[in-house]
Order: sequence, then C-alpha cells, then structure tokens
Amino acid sequence: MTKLYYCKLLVLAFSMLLPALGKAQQQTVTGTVVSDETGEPLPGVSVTLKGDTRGTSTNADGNYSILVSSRNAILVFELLGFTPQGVNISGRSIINVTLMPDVRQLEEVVAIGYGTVRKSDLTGAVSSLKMEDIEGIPLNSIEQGIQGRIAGVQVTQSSAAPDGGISMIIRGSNSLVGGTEPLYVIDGIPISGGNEQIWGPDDGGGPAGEGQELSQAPNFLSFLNPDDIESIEVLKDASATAIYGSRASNGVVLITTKQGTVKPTISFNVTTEMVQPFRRWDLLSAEEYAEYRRLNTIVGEYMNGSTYEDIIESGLPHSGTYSASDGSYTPSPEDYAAGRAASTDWQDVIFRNALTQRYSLSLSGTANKLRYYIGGGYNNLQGPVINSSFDRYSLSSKLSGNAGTNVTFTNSLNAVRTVGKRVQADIAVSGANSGIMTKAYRSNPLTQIGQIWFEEIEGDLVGSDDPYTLATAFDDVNTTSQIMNNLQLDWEVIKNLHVKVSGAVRYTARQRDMYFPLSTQRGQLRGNGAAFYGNTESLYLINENLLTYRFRKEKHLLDVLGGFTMERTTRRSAAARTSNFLNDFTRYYNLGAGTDFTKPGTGFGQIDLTSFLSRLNYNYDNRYLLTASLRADGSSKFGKYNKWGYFPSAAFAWRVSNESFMSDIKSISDLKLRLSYGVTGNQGLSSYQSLPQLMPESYPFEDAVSIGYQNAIIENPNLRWERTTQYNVGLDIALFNGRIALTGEYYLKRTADLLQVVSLAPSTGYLKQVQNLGSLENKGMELEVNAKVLTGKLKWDVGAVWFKNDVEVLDLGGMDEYPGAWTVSWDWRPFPIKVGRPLGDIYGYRVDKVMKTQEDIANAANDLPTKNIGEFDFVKDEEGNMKLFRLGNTNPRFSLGFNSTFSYKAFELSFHLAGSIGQDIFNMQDRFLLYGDGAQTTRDYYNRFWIPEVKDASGNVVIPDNGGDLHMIAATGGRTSLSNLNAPIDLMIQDGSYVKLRNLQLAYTLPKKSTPAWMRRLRLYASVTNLFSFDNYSGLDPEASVYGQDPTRRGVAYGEYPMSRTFTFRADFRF
Amino acid sequence: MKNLIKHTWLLLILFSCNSLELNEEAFDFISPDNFYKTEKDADASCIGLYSAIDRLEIYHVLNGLGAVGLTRNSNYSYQNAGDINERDDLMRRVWQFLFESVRKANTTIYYLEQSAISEEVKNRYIAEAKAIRAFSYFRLVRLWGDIPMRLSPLVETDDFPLTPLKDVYQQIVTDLEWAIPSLWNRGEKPDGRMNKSTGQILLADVYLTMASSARSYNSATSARSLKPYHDAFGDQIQEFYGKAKTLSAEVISGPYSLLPDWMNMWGKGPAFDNRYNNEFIWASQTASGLYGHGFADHYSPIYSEYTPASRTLFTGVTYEHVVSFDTLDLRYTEGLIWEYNDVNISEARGQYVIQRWRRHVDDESYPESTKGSVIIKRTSDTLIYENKYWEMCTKKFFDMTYTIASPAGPAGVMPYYRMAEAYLIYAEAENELNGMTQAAVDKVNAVRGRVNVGLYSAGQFSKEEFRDHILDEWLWEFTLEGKDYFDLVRMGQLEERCYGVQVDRFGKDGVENPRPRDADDYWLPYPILEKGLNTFLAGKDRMSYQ
Repeated sequence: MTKLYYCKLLVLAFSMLLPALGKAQQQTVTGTVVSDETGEPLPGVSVTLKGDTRGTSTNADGNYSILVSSRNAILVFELLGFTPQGVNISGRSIINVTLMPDVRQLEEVVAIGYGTVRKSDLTGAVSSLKMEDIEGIPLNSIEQGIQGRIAGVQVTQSSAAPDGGISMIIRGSNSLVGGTEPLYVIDGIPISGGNEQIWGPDDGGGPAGEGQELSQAPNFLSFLNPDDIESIEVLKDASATAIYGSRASNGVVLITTKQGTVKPTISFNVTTEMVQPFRRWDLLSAEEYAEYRRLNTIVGEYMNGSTYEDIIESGLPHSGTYSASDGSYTPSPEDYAAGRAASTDWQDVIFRNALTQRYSLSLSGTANKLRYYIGGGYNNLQGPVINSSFDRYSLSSKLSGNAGTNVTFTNSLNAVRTVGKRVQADIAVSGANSGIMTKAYRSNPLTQIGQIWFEEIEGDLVGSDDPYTLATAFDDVNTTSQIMNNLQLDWEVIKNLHVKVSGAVRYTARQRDMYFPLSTQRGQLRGNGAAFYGNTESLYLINENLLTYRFRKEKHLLDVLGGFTMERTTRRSAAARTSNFLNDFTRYYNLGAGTDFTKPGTGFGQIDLTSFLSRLNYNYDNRYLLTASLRADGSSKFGKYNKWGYFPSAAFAWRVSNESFMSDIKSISDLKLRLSYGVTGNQGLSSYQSLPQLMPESYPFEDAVSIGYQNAIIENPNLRWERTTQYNVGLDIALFNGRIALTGEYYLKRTADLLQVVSLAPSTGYLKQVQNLGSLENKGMELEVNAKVLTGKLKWDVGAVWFKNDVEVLDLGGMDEYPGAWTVSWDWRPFPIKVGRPLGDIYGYRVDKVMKTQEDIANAANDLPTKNIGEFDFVKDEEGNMKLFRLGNTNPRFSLGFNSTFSYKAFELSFHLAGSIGQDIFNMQDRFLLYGDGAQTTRDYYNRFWIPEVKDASGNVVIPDNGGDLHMIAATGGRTSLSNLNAPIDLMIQDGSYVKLRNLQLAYTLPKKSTPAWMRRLRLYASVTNLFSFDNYSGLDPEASVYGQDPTRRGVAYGEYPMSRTFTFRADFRF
Repeated sequence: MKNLIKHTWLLLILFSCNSLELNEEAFDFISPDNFYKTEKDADASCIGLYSAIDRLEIYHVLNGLGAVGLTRNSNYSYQNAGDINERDDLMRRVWQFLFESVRKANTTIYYLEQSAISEEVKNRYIAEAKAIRAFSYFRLVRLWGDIPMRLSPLVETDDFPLTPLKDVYQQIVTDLEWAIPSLWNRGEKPDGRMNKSTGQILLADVYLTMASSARSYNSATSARSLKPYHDAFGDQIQEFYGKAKTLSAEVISGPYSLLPDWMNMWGKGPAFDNRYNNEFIWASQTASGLYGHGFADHYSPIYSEYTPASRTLFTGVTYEHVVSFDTLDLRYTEGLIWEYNDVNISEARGQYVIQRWRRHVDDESYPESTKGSVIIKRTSDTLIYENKYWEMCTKKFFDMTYTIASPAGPAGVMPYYRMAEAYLIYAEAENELNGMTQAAVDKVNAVRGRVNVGLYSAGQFSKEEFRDHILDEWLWEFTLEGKDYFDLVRMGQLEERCYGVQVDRFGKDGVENPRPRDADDYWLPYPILEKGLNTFLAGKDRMSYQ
C-alpha cells in the first residue's frame, strides 16, 4: 500500500467523522473482512462490541456495518476456524480486517481418540488420509480408498459384489475367533464388529458346535457415503489406540465427516460408471465340450474293456446321427461350432456391462456463527453379474456453533437407507445350494436357459437350476435403515478447562427378504416355493463426559484428559419362514400365503460398557513429547470374575530436528523418533457367553411334543478380553522443506488370552466352552514415503507405501495343534493351526504322477483311497503313505501401494497401484474343474487330461496317447480319487500375488475465465478402475476370499463374484 | 445459557446413577437363576432329560459288536470290541452322549435339591432324574467298566478320576432304591416317562447283570475279563439273583402285561404303529410328523418308500442268526423281511422312479449270492443302474404310515424295556437259584407260546442246558433291540455265540469267519478325546481286568 492511499483513507475517515462529532457519540463503523489465506471476503463473521452482546455479522461479500456509541470501543471479529481478532475503533469509521486462520489449522491437525493433535506432536503411529486427496475416485465403500494408501492396513475385497464384504486388517490378525476388524469411530460414535447378515435358510451349516456362515455377508460400512467424509485417521500402535481399551487390539479407524465451510457453497456431483467383469474363466466352448464328452465316453469304455468297434457300434454321444427309435437328432461338435445346435455360454448369460450412477448434493456455509453442512446422496450401483445391485440413499449433516459464552456445540447426523439385491454368488457349498458362479463354471454348455435338469453331486442326482434362473428368479434383498446422531457440547469453564459432554444414538434396522419360486428346482426342494423374512434392530446409546485442561508455562505444555463414558446396545431379532405357495405372485411380501410354517424365532440381547479414561500429553520445548494413557473398561460381556479390564499405554517422542545442534542441517526439516508401549484388548465375544444357559429340549409324549429345558451352555465366570501388548518404534523424517516426507515403523504385538472354543473332556457332559487360552505374535514393518517431485507449473506428487507383517502362533493352551475350521466338507480341514507356525498354512497332498500302468498302481501310496489306471498317485512318506505337505500360506509376504499425481494447469493425471505379494490361494473351485468326469472344465485342464492310447481291433492306433500330466479324461477318472481325499492337492494351490492398477484418472478443472459467473468451479473426471491386474491366478479375482473376515482361512476362492473393471465419468459442480 | 449448564449437569448426574455392576441380564433364554422355581419348571427339567437317551449311536455300536446285528456301513461294523480303537468316533459319541445324559440328570438333581419347591413334590422329579442317571451309568459301566463318575453338574476342571466298577454299580443301586418308592405310578405321567415299573425292571436288570456276570467269570476262557464282577460281587450272586427275581415278579404283576399276540406289538398292514401297546414298559417316543428319530430309518428295509431317501446307514441281521430260528417261529416268518430292488426307471420330466420290493422270508429262500450294490448314476444322457440289492432286516420298527413328505421321519420306536424281558429275567434268575423249575419254565413258555414254537416242561434240561436255551430266547426275542451284546457278555458266551459280522457289504459276499475273541473284547477303550483332556485317564487303554 502506498502512502497516498493512507492519506486518502485518513481524509475519508475524518470527513465521515465530522458530522458525527456534532451528534451524541453515535457512529456507524463499516468495513470488509477478508481471509488472510485466500484474500477472499469472509461471510458470516460475527462482529460484536466487546462487553456488549449486541452485534452483527458480515454479509455474503464480507461487508458489515455496526452502530457504536464509543469511539474507543473494541470490535471483536470471530469466525470458527479463524483466530478471533479485537480491533480498537480509535475513532475510525471504516475498519477492514484480515482474519488469520486458526494456528492449529495452519499446521495439519489429525484426530486422535477423544481429541485432535498437531501432526508434529504425535507420539504414536497414526496415518491420515484426507478424502480430498482421492476425490473423484469411485468408491463403493470407504475402505477401498484406504487400500494401498496407508501402510500396515491390509484391505481385501473378499467379494467384488456391489455391496460385497471387505476385510480390513491393521497390523496382522490378533485373534482366531474374536474378530480381526478394527474399531471404527464415526464422528465420535464407536462401531465395532464386522460384516454381518441375517442368516437365511441356507447360510449356516456344519457339524454341531461348528456351524459356520456359508455365504458372504455384505460390507458393514456400506452405509457410509464416501462423499460425506472429510478425513480418515488410522490409529495403529498401542499409544494411539489404548485410549479405546478393550476394543482397540485390532486398531482404530477414526472417520470424520464434512463440516460447514466458511463461504456458502453448493456442491453437486454426478457420476456415471460402466461396469464390466474384469475377466472370465477360460472354459470349453460348446464344440470343445461335445468333443470332450465323446472322448470321455470312448476312453472310459475302452479302459473298461470294451473294444473300440463296440463303443462306436453302441453309439457315441454327440455323434451327429439320428436315433433309430424316435428319429431324434444328436448334434455333433461340428453342429455346435456352426451354430446349428443350441448351446449356452453360461458366463455370457450371467455377465453384463452394467451402468452405475451416483449423485451427491451438499450445502455448506456459515450463518450467524452457525456452521452448517448438509449433504444428500443417491448411489445406484450395478454389478457385473445380472440382477445384483446396491442402492444407497444418504443424508448427512453437521451443525456447529456457539450456544452462548464459552459454550460451543456440534451436532452430526447421518441417516441412510440401503437396499442390496444379491445374487447368491460366493456360497461355500456345493450341490443344490451352490452359488451362481459355481454353477456358471460347472453347467453343461449344451443345455439352455429354463431347462430343468439334474446335476450330479458326489454321486447323487440333485435337482438344479441353471445359472440364469438362479440369478433372475430368486429374491434376496437386504435392506438397512440407519440413523446416527451425536450432539457434543463443549463448555470452557475457565480458560483452557473444557467440559465436554456428548450423547449419541445409533439406530439400525436390517431386513432380509428371500423368495424361492415354485417354478424353480430350488423352490421345489423347499416345498413348493418358500419365503423367508428376517429382521434385526439395534439401538446403541453412548454418553461421554470429558474434562480437558491445557496448561502452558514457558517451555512446558501439558494437556490432560479425563472422563467416563457409558454405552448400551440393545438388539432384537425376528425371523420367519413359510413354504408351499399356490403361485409366485405374492413372493416374500406375504408369508401368510404359504401354508407350511416353520417355527418363528425372535431374540433379544443387551450389552453394557462403562469406561473411565485418562490421558496426559506433555511437551517440553517442542523437543520432548510424552503421552501416557489409561482406560478402564467394564463390560457386561465379560465373566463375573473379570468384569473390569485396564489398558495402559505410554509413548515418548524426540523431535531431533528442534535441537540446536540440528539447526545447521538445512536439508532436514523434520526428524522425529518415537517409542511406544501399550496394552489393548479385543472383546470379540457375543453377549451372554459367560453365562450358563438352559435351552429347550423338547421330547414327544403321547404323540405331542412337550417342551423341556436343560442346561446347554456351561458358564465361564473367568471369560475376558483378549489382551494385546504392543511395542512400536517409529521415525518421521521430512527433507528439503517438506518436499520429501518419510515415515518408518517397526512393531511387535503379542496377544495373550486368545478367545477359543475349547473342547471339554466328554465326561463333563459338555462339548465345548469359550475360554481364554493361548497366544500369538505379530511383528512387522511399515514404510510411507510422500514426495513432491516437481513443484513448478508441472506438479508431480508421488506417494508409496510398503509394509509386511508376520504372524506366529505361540501357544494353544497346551495343545500342539488345532484341526482348524472346515472347508468343502466337514472332514476337510486344510488350515490346521499349529504352535510355532503362522496362521493360514495350507496342508494337503502333492501329485506325484498319474498311474498309467499296473506297475504304477503296485507302487502307489498304500493309503490311496482308490487305485485305478488314470488316477493320481501322490508323493509318499517313508512308510509309503500319502504325505501331508504344507502347500502354501495365505498371508502375503508384503503389501504395497503407489500413487502418483501430475498436475499441469487445469489438468490432473493420477494413478494408483495396490498389491500384495507372496500369498497363496486355495482355489477350491478347481476341485470341480479338475474332476474331469464330463462336467465343464477349463481349457488348460482339458488339454492336460491324459488320453491313453486307443486301438481298434486290427491294432491300429485310433487315438494316440497324448502324454497328459493330469488324470485320465474318462468318466469318473479324476473324481473318484479327488472326492475321496479329505485335503487339497497342490494343483489347487495357486500363487495369489497381485498388483492391480486400481485407478487411472484424468481430471480437468474449467479455468476461472471460462467458468460462468454463477458457478464457482467445474471439475470433470474420467477414470478407469482395475485397468490391469498383474497376477498368475486362474480365477476371477485374486483377492477373493469366500470366508471373508475369518483370519484362520483367508484366501479361499470358491465361485467368487468377478472383479469388475469400471469406466467412470464424473462432474463436480460448485456454486 | 444457565439452563443449558444446569441441564448438562443433570445429564451427568443421571448417567452417573447408572449402575457399574455390569451384570448381564438374560432376556431371550433361561438361566438357572430364573428356573427351578415351580413344579412346572421341575417337570420341564425332567422332560429335557429324555432327548439325550434315545440316540442311535449306541445301537450302532451294540449291533456292530453283537451276534445278530450288522450294519451296512463298514465303519460301524466291528468284529468285536477289540476292533474299536481309541480313535473310533462312533464309540466316542456313545461315551459323549451318555455322559451328556448324566450331566443333565446331575443338573436337575442339583438344582431341585436346592429349590424351594416342597420336598414331597420335588422328590418325585429328583427320583425320575436319579433313575435316568442310573440308566445311563448302567449303560456306561457295562461298556467301559471303570468310568469317571461325576455326580455334580459343577465342572471346575476336565480332570476326574476313574471310579471302580463296583462303586458305579453301588451308586446305581443306591439311586434306584432311593428313587423307586417316589417314581411315578403308571398313568400319573405319560408313558415314555420313567415310572415305577421302569425303575423296578431296570434294577432287576442291574442285579441280574451283576449276578450273572460274576457267575460267568471263568479264568480259563475269554470270560476271564468278567473278573471285576467276580471280585466285586462274587459273594453276593445268590442275593442278587433273589433281588432280580423279586423285582421282576413285581413288574410282572404290575400295570403292564405280556401281549398274547406277538405281532400286535409290531403290527401288520398299513395302519401299523408300534408305539402304543401294553407290553412296552419304557420305549423311545415319537410324534407323528413332529418328532422322529432314526430307528425306523436305520432298521427298516432300505429303499422302501417308508424310509427317507437320506438314509445312509442300515442295520440288518446276520445270516447265521436268520437260520438259527425255528422255521415256524413267528419272529422269523413275520418279524424278518428281506428286500430287494427291481429297478424300474422311467424318465418323465427328470423324475426317476425306482421300484422297490419287499418279501417275507417264506416267499423265497434267503438269497446267499445275489448280493451287490446298486449304483445310480447319471451321465449326460443316460442313466446307468447296476445289479440288485438284497438285505435281511427286521420289521419291528417299520413304520408303514410314513410318507416322504413327513418331515420328522418315520415314527417307529425302540423299546428300552418290555414285559418279555421281565419274564426272561425272572426265568434266568430262578434257573440260577433253583434250576429248571415250573416257575422258570412258565415264564419262558409265556414268551414262546405266542410265537408258534414248542413249549418246555419243568426239569426237561439241566440248569446249564436251560441257561443256554434262555440265552437263545433272549437273542430271538430281542433281535435288533440292542440287548444281544449285553446278554452274551453277561452269560460269558460272547466268543462262543458271536457269529461274526459281514464287514464289507459292497465288496464281498458271504460272511467273514468269526475271529477268536480276546478277553479285552468285553470292554471298550476310552476315547482319545477323553484321555487327552482328563489327565486321570492318560495312558489308560481300557478297563484293567487282571
């Protein structure tokens, strides 16, 4: 500003003051308030006279006007997020003010449990993700945004369905049965648990006491609209998480939703996506399949002793001949090739290119000290498999402001309704109830849609529906309605002493509707059409009462937090089923239309959690930082002798870069060393597990059932949380004025008192009890690098994460080994849990060779279930029996992520890679593809099946030996041996390493000069998700994991929902 | 503003009043704290004891071990008890559910004893529970000998020492003698509940088992493994026979009776229902279409329209047992049935119909060689079926009212005790006490007289000869009722009378030669699961009889 300007201003001021002097001290002060950061005018700034409650606020252009009575009064300018400013009028009538953003906002602030802290003051391992950094990337659920961007967080999309389950593991699996998913805290409301669903008629199975979920539950965070989220913090080490006590062992994810902006803003975005299956199984075509069936018959009968001539004489399948009896024609492979005979590519039938739409609208701003954000969203996601979709209607709002002197409030509201239409894809059972994908690769390509047919399952004929009917005729609708509200009050009692009280409620109603039509085999098997209705309703209440105090004296800064919280969850459920319908008209809308009723079930439960928490942060001269916390959790779920658990933590950080001896080293702008220790818990128990329970034990007398009651569950008054002790060493370095930032972490976690379902001595009369027994260890390393490679006109930012985790079972309470959970069938337990070994080891047999001669049979393993020419022989142990090998492990050796953003003028080009290396997949579906019993198979296996030499009567070779390395191509060649094994074979274990190009995106912001005046910004995006996947897996998605979040058997593929490739176009409008 | 602050504190105070006890309150289930308060609770607790008794597994084991039964599933066919190893899962399940039954009875006794229900009322339910506990321990002690005898439902640890056979029997006798006066009279509770007659015949059976087992001990034969009986009760044989005789006489004069027509017990024709008749003192129970269990499924002809398609196990009888019957014996001509398949398949909209046929024995001679398996298999366009299938089985549990649509399975029931048993107990005890007296002969003749075979006259045989005939009668009368193994052991005749079993029904024809039995074969091994968890059993294979 020039001197001349000042002079003019002074003259103007005096000229305005002159008339006022004559009047009675009344004058008007006007001016404009602008932001220091952007220079833009600030609306909604409160302007008051000190010591007076009267005031005004700035208008949309940042202008204000206020009547003052004293020339020496002080005007106070206040706006949330900015440092308040007091200005002495000193007789002026025009006062223009520049507000400085709050100091704490100058430096990045991250959320930690029950508060926030400057990033530089962190003592624990906390990673942060700002949603604006991944703006425009289509996310069905927010975990997808975290994958490959935060070190130590392994995100696995276990089903690629639109609402498919996602598993998130922070620093390894700490538990066998207690759950491994982190605690989520959404705007202060803790949500623990994992994916869950209401069990339909076929979702559970297994031997008594070992029932398991057979189909995948939908993602439990799918209620969150990613567009409403501001930032995500992942708390990893115990110093950060211990404040959440008995629920923190698996890490804590803090989710903060958007809050009001300063300037009124309307934001609208629209997204359209084209979704297609990423890849398919390479199955035989109709022609090849018919050829295969012909070979199958010839070889099978020839090896059974028939002569080639007899086989031809008695007629081959797909012979291209007319039947002598009824004149019907049997099409030949050539007919199928030429399209003269009908055939079906079942993958074609059930896959599609789908169109997905997303819309978000938000209104945000500040008015009269009230900051507001109101956002609404509608997502209509369509999956690449027909008839699978997910709709989400969401509303989110956050209001914050002053409720009087020294009291501020924040109210966050989130309301959502989701409707998921599921096709039963990844169901871990074979046979009549198998999922649509399993049917897609097993179904006979020579049949057509709508043909009722039979499928041979383990030697039995089972009525079966074709994949198309299965996908389209059945209803399986999951509806969730949820409302969450959290009101927080902050009262500054005296300077720096705050009382914070909050109350929150979360109400969730889930509903599942299913219908199995009369017109389908599955509906027939259930008794002429069957309908199911299930419902759960949960109400969660929390009250938090916190006291914080900040004390600063010279170089000492002390922050103290203390408080107590109370939580209560009540939950009720109901389920009903009927069957025998007259027609398919009313479906699940009217269960009363069926005539056969199954006993309805309802349930009710309640969980209480009371906690006391405290934390102390001490900062000396910004060089030495100390954090200590203690939480006491009392949970109703624990046994009566162990109601209370105590969870301490301590951490120390040294900011080396603030030491005087570092001041000369200019290249290092920040250097911090962190050490931490802490204890956390995992209370992954359902309620009432410590109590004895009587269960109905009915028994019939005189042709009527009488209800009896007997003790069924033994009490365990000692039951308690799993206890994890974690040590962490971390190093943060920033170089060249922050252009390169690097974080490295090493951690060691020991979990003791593992929750386990333990067998009891049968003479006790009980089978099992949940006990705390055994321990395991996770240790690992994490590396995060962020660099601003180019900062000029062309900007280039890159970020990379790399992390690894090793898990080892230390103790199983005296046992050396547990059989582990079952897969395929009750005897199949390929994941035994062994002391000294990691979880996820796969055990099974190695194929030695195919037995092609009688000599091979004589030398075969003694305990081979069947010994026939053309079957597998397996590698033997010293005693000549089949040897059980460790065939692989489902844990990755390491995981990585890389993202890069170029920006030039209005353009921004970014890509993101995420991958995991070194894990194995147990490809359970290959058990069927390998059968070679005449059912559909992959081209690769088909070409490897052994075709023995076939000669005609005169000794001429009709079919030469193909030297195949898989079992014989005959009727039951492979299946007899494979279905009699109770373990996988090495052919079913595949390398699951992958690196996916998760996203490639081009964004364009309309330049200011071409933007219409009424619009503030227009930004356009085009992106492709899953453009490439670098992997060797033969199935559809290397991430697929049919047992979802179960840590003892990840990486099991079984008819997985296909990974999709998505082309996205998005426009963001801001007004 | 002031209001707001006031309300904030109010809120704080309100929440602070919330209790910190954190005790869980049961809502959708019943816990012992809110049960055992009324007679209805006591009754429900006793009703809850029955479903743990009628499990099929014990019949599979007993038929696998015994002389007359055999099962189609080779996993459950044992040459003898010595073939059952510690890892045998079926044997483990028998151990498990018998102890489950004991534990439930212990729970009922324990909580009812503490209950405020009046002594007079609750003692009757305690008596019922004690009698059921005695029944389960009686099964356990006959199979395993020394067992961990828990009498309390409180489980502090897996460890529990073995209780000697003698003490187990002592407990059984004590429980039953305490219970019998308080047990229900017939009619007070529905049939199928433990009543006075049941208690009496059970105790008679216990005394007879103790006495005969001790008597049969012979150091020179395989019956030497009955030594624990000899050591425990060798000096009380006469006394026990006397008690068995007295008790069985009380049962005979009680409210149940021997049916004059043997076939009435099992029924004929489509209206057949074996569940309700005056001879069944105590039997497993079913409710038509509501509650069934596997007896009919597993013992009736396979592939009949009266058995569920899901049946995977099948129990029939041995060839030797079939030919041991008198050809006129109704228990042979009417009681046994052979079945074969005449596969008659038609394909109509994918429906496959397989015709099954059943014939009585006298229609055609018992087929000895035409055995095989039927394999129904569908390849792409044809259905292959091979051979025919033959089985010899009993009609006792053959529920002709059963249809496939009935969800609970066939309703045929298994008698635990029926009147014929009281007659034979009496005869066996009387013969041991006084030889082939008129009283003994009358009882046997009552059983024989209704099945079209010749009668005995007093003094016709020596005591030893008559003992053998009584054993024959036990085997014929109770074919596939789970008695033969216990009868043979008690009589010390397991080695001599066991015909051996056919091991592989699919692969081999004919009957395997019976293998000489070891003395070990009288006692089952302890399950590996128990030994791994209960340190008192570690290293113990089975009951020591040396």
